[in-house]
Amino acid sequence: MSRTSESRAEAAKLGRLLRVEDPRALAFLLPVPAAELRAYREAATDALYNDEAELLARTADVARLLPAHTLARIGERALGPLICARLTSLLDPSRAVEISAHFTVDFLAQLAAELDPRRAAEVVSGIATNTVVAVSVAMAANGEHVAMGRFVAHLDEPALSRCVQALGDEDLLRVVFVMEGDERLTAVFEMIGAERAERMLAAAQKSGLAEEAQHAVDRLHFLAGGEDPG
Amino acid sequence: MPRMTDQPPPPPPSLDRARDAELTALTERALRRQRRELAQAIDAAIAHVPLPLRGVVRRALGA
Repeated sequence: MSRTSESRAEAAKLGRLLRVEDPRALAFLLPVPAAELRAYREAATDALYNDEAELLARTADVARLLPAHTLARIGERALGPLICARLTSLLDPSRAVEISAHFTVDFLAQLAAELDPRRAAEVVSGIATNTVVAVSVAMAANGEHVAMGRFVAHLDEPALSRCVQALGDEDLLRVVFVMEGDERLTAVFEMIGAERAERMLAAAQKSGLAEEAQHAVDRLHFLAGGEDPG
Repeated sequence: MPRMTDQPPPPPPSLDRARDAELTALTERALRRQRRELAQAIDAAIAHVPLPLRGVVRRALGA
């Protein structure tokens, strides 16, 4: 796999985490090996999640006092997606799922973009498949492909398959470029199917996604036991 | 009440030393923005809590 593409994918993920709007601002990270950038991103994620942990924990405790629909209204109107995402991992998963059922799809898409699914895996798996699909389409429309890539490893096969069918070719390529967990890559391409994959990869040049397409091909080749083109 | 705040992690070892400060500044900015959003969000949220519970919530949050 191209080392530069690996580092560019990691730099994009770090940029999303730190909310750096212009990816060119992180071009100085491209010479850094992807594994080091990944380690930095994971440590920065911990720092963001640990920051003000006590106040967030108290806020999550207070949430027990209020009904789910009231919490959803407060979350959407006052707390906002970032704070709701931080609180999601502190709530009892079934309670978080109950609250999420009262959120609009647009708000859930914004919340999901801020969420670290590793810290809320039970919540993610508890969301209804129809909602997951609607949220994935909304996230793609918002350009949140980096955030979507974090969820691939946490969706069950039926939900992932329906998302793959619902998303456009360009969106899929952008997600595949940054998706976490190579173990799901082969499964994703099986869901895409050979005919669509061929069309998708062929169209990538025209849509300015040649690097993303080549990266996907290289990763699939590597996973199938081929040489790492490095 | 002491603030539970975190620091940016050490920069990647292979990053050009001259760029360390740039990455740390971006991470510090993200941490500051999150703290500011949290403080504003808590203030705004209390106004949406049903009146009979507002005092309990305010005390529980230490706000």
